[in-house]
Amino acid sequence: MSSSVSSPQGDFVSDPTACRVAGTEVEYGIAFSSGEIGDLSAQISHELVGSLPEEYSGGALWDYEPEDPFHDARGFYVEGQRERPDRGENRRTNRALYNGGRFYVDGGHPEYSAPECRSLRDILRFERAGDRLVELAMHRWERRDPRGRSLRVFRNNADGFGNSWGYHENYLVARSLPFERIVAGLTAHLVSRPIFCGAGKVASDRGRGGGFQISQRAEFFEVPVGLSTTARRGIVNTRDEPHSLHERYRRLHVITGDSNCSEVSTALKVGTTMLLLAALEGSSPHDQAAGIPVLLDPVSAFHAVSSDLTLRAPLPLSDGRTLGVLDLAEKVFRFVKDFYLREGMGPETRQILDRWESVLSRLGSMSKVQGEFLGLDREIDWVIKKGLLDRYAESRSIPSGDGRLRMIDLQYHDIRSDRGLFRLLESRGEVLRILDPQEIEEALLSPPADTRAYFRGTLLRRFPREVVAVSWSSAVVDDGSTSLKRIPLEDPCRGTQKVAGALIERHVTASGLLAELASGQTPGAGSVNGKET
Amino acid sequence: MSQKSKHSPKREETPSEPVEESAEGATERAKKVREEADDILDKIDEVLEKNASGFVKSFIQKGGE
Repeated sequence: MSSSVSSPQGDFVSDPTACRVAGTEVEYGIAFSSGEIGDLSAQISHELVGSLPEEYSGGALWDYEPEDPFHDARGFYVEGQRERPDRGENRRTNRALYNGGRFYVDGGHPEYSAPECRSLRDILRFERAGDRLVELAMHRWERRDPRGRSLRVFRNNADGFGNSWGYHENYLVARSLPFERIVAGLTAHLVSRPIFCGAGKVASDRGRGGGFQISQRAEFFEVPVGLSTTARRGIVNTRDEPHSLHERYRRLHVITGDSNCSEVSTALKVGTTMLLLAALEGSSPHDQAAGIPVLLDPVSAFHAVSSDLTLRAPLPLSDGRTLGVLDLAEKVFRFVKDFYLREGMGPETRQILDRWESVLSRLGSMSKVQGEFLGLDREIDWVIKKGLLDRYAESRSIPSGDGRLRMIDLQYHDIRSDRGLFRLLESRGEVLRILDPQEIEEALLSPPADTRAYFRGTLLRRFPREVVAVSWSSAVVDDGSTSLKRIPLEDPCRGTQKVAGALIERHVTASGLLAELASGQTPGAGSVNGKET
Repeated sequence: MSQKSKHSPKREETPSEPVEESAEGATERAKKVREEADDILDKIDEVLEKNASGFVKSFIQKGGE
């Protein structure tokens, strides 16, 4: 598989001119070695951000000016306080990374947003680069802590006491696809995909009983569609903040996913969703309605999928029929595959479809024969974790409520290279890898080459004194004049290495680069209007 | 890619799985994994948080997002 998901061109859509961009965000759980953190969570998170070694980020602030998270995709605007921290708070909260991403504090947790990527391979390696950056910051925090404390950081989503924090996927989607069609077409997928991308957990957070859950996140969802990410969470999130050209794109914000450790689960989670969205964009409403089932009660179905390890629970559809989760997942797969068989596909699309089909087929076999994992216990997080817990409990003769089992569940997600249990399995060859470790290390410092993240990250690293702030869609430059200049980066597919690499290279100052941009020749970084801030 | 381990002795080949790895590499790794199959549980005991019960009772996060 090591080269099979790779695609240097990122050509996984039938239309080669399409701009298909995605990025992921990981929010981390954090504690001292005792397990406690209490009210210190936000403070330690800020200190963690401040402990990131300087070689990965300079002094730039986060540019909040273009941010506007209160537009709802259903067409209305929600009241809310826009975030506008002062300079000191901005700096304490944010690191704009040379790799094009952002390391920051959100809701009292450390969070890493990976840069925008066009290939699935980049999605994987930039997400993992985040774990490494947080690990480096954590070690530096520990070395500097006068009280000699140590930290634990987990890429998971629940604490066992009913609190959840997120893993968010962002997909650039053509605005021409009506939001109602996204809801109708995506819901069955988001409800059924935990069978291959659930991270698993030993027990329910909400006292639902029944023991092991396939998904860490499913039971925290309460409504089919919604804007909030913290209360009454909706399976399809309606935030409409494209960080981009509003009239052309929406940024679909998917909040149902688990923070996977397995690269295969991550690849399937993002890869299948990316292909489905492209297929919805390219299909007629009639084809969509004929191909993708509509669930009668998506929330109950989501909960049922997560707690049913046999993968057989009947899920009622709005047309009166019922389907099992495997059949539902199969329908979604078939819809996407048929679309690409009609429209044609590049190598990356083919590889995602092959992997998707193989995993669904083996999940089907696994559900029929107990004890048969067919390799899924090397690929799919919840199967890997369940297998590990069962082996451990059996060999140590410990009962199901034992704290060690809950600890194994947690420590599976520990980001430390030498003590995280998933990392341990990985280093021992017990799980399937897609990436080469060297590719991950490169992603700590070098941005993706084929999105605007290249322009952002390279500009930050090359002109650390002049670039005073960036956001997803802007870079703010101090050219020594009386006003700061904001360079709009509205199109995620411009500002690539191919287009802007030579331009950045030939200037020794950001002011010089800005002057060339203003003279008329844009570098693919979006138009420059010299707008003053 | 399939190697037999103690807990799933009947695991079969899954030829549909594309794993790019040299034949020698795969054989070498499979051998190593077999030898270490039990060892992994001991290794978990070694690295697992010592105060596991206390840790999981204290691990309470304020929700995020």
